[in-house]
Amino acid sequence: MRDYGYLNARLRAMKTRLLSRAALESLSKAEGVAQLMTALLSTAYKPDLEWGRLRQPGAAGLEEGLRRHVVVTVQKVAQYAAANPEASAILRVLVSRWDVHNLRTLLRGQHISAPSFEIRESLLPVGSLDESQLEELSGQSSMKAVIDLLLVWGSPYARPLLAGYPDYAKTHDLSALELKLDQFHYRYLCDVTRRRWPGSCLMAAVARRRPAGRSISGGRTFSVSLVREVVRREIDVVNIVTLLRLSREGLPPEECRRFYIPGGKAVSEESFVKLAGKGVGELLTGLAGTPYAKVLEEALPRFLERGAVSLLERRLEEYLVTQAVSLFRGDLLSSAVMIAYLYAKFNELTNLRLLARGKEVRMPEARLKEALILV
Amino acid sequence: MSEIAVKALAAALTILGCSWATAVVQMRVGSAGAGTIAERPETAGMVIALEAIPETIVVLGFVVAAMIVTTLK
Amino acid sequence: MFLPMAKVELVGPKSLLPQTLSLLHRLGTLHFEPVVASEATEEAAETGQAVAAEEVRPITVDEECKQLRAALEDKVSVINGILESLPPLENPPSDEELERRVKELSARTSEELLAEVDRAIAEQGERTRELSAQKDRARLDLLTLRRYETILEKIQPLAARLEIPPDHQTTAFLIERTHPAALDAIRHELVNLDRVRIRVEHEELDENATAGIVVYPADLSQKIHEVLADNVSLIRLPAEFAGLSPQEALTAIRQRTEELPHTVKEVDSELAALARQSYVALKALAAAVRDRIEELQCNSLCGETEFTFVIRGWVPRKDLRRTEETIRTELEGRVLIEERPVDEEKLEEVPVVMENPKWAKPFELILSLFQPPVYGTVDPTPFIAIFFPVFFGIIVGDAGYGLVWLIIALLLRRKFKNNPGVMSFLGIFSAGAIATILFGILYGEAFGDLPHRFHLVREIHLFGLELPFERSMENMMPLLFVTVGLGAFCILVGLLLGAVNAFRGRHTRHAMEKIGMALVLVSAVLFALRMVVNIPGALGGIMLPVGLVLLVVGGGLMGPMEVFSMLGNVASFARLMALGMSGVVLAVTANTLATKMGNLAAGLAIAGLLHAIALLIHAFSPGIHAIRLNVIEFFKWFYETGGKRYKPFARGR
Repeated sequence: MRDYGYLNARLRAMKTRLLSRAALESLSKAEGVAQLMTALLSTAYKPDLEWGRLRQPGAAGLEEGLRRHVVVTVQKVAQYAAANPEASAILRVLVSRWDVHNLRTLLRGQHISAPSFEIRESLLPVGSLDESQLEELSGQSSMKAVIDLLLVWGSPYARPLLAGYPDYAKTHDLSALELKLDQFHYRYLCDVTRRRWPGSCLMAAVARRRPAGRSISGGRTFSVSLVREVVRREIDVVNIVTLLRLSREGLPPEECRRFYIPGGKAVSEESFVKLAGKGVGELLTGLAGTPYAKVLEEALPRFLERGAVSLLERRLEEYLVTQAVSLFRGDLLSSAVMIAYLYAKFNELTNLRLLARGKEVRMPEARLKEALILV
Repeated sequence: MSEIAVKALAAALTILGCSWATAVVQMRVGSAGAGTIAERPETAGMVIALEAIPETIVVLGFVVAAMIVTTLK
Repeated sequence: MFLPMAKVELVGPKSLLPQTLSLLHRLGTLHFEPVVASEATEEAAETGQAVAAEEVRPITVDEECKQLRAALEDKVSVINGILESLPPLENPPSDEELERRVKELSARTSEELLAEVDRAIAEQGERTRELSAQKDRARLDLLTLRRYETILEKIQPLAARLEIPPDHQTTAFLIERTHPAALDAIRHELVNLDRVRIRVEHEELDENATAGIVVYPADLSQKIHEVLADNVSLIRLPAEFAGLSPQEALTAIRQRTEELPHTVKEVDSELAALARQSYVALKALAAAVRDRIEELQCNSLCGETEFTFVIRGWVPRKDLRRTEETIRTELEGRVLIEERPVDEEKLEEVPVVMENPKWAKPFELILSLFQPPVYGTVDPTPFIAIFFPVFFGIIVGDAGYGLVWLIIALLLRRKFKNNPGVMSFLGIFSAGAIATILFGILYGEAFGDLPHRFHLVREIHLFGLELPFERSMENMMPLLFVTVGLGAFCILVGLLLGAVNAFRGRHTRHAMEKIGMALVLVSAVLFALRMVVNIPGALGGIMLPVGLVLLVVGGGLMGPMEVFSMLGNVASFARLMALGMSGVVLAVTANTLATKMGNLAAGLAIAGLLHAIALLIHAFSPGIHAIRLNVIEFFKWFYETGGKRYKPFARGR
């Protein structure tokens, strides 16, 4: 049954407990972590922050509390969506980005030989890898041990990492391994949101092509089409961010083809290769007519002033979040509300983490506000 | 078909259509209302009233069917 | 009816502000109204001039107070964290015990409270943290070990085929089935190291992977790992099980997974012991600190002049004398409390609290589900107390059902006499049950048509009406007219109340609109009555145009359009007839089926079952419709939301 009524009613009520723009701006004015914590104690984060505060003082306790809050929230959403198989499948798609985040964190942690407690602090057990699995992975002695353990558990992420590991072992180039992970992840997302026509499952089975029945509801419902749009937009942004980074590498265009992730809407493989290695100005021209051009144009003055590509990346991320959160005004009987809520919640977590770390190192308020994505 | 049979059928179809429509609407309102009350108990009153509003369809359908049936005699 | 409210102002020396706030908190009668800057103060702030000493301005909370509040908030969050980690008590403390402890703690100064909190955190916090961490650890270990148990169980058949000589070790690995040649190459390389002493066995694990085990002498361990490390996925067990063979590891893991739940139980009992020892004290401490924080928070709602503090708010008039006397006595006359005049233009600022006579009081529960009305408007509670039971009774109208419900309600009232919410619900239910009995007598119904079947009904004529008024298909249209007529009456009452509210609020045009609508409604009723009763048409003929004119004057050109909405609302009352008729059909069907059984016992059983189902359905559905008719059709014409609920500054638990 595809009834989104109950789920969306609960999510819309939960939405009222999200922090408003004004609340975040006020939090950015807090003088230190203690004041930030005190301010957050009068929000929906209260019980989880108290739980975190008992376990660790200061910023560490705050982070523990924030993490716990988001994990509990996603568990609640999963519980409310349980009666609707389509919604549950869409939820798994939306939280799968945290599997990639967690795996990247684990790989980077192993790459720089970070202590396991430091790696654990950046992990968030909301995807398919639960807390005990992440704990076990963070305690492994080497990168290979992490990948082996994933295979032992039957995680689908083991295969691309195993495929990429020999190159990493030779070159110690982490980005190649991360690229394999990203490509696998987005291929999976495209697969499960693909539109399948009736009879195509049977045809695929006859032709012995990809396994039949992988896409959610055949990809034909409005809810799945919303997720498909979100995924395609995300792939576009990933490709554009790659282009921005490649603009400084000086690699020949054909060599850049391997960095392309298929499945996006605005950036095709040919245009990707054409724009690879070009400067930001030419990139803007190449993206003309797409919504990303406008986003980059608006951020261009700041980029030219500071020269930091991360500024442009952050604005693209802001565009993704804004587009997703605007779905709160979408069809109330579809997955629009869930997509919007999860993006808003994850963005809120990122903002609060930024604030916590910023306050800890006494970052100026203006710099902090710039880094926040306020929707 | 005799006149009585036609009128009886008309009354039956009236009730059928109205009940089905009411059921579909109340199903949606009920599930959304349950979620709303779970998160915001103070909305219970309005949710109860909203759940009862679609019943007008079946009530008026009943009235129409009854008016059809009373003219049978 | 709304409790009359008095607007008060307290003025005293600044040094007495904390004491005054604490006293007000204990009294629990004042609804705070934040002090806002006066015009003169705002002007001075804009122009940079000094504010006059006697001008009231919002208080500037001093740094010490802010820090104290921040410290208390930080500490209470730790206490709450401890309380959340402790299991709930089997015998929770009584409210009186808790209240006593809170009162004792509240008498201390803020610094003493802080010291008490620090001591509690030092004593209980560390231990709770340790135990919680132990429990979390055990829980995570259990999940992890179960995963290892699963994989070891899968490779057990393979392990069972291998004999492990002394001084030999084993290493298990997985290899993807997409690389069959790789397995052969590895086997070849391994065996080449020592053909005699090294053995490699493998088996397909599932559709994705092949499992393998290498048995080798301990001295070749490093070489084996060099070959395997980058070519296969080793099954690495947690450190405590490393070096064991697959069978030994599985046994050890199974043992551990059996022990862990006991560990969790032990930790739980320690936490329970800790809870028994300290839960009540911590709960009281958290409540006392929360009260103190609330008092400190209220600082920002107060005002000040150069030397005095100013508190403004509302007190129910019936509590005013008690409040005044307590403040005068406990603060020795050093803080003045004075009543201020109420601004009639700003009645929406006055907090609202209802007080109704006993017969209407339960119906305040229905009102509490909605936004409160503006102070000074009509309290709809007594009207709901009349209309709700009448609507309920008209729909159900069965003396037997009503009697059953009344008995159940009276029995439940004894059980729940200490629960005000349930008592209110039962009060509403009882009123509905009584109305159901009365209408049941009017309709001659008790458990359907049983009185008619047993010839217990005697027909009488009253005011030209034949009673009992049988709810049959023949009487459906008259019943429809009666219920719609009742609806017209109900809406007429709503319109008149709306006119009263409009006059009270001095909104003359609004009042004219309401009166105009009422005249249109009455004229419509008169025209409808003319179809059955011979009454002169002149009255209706005068009322209709007058009403329309008033509608235009009061509501503009769109005013008359509201007439259609009003007629729709009147028609909505047809549901009273429709729902009632459907209930009658169900009850009559139950009785008819029973008589057709041919056997008394079977007949009683079937009738009993169907009547029980009907009792259950009719307990809720008519109530919901009765509420809906009141809330949507009746309230629409007079109920003005936007009121503020009375929230006194009181100690809450």
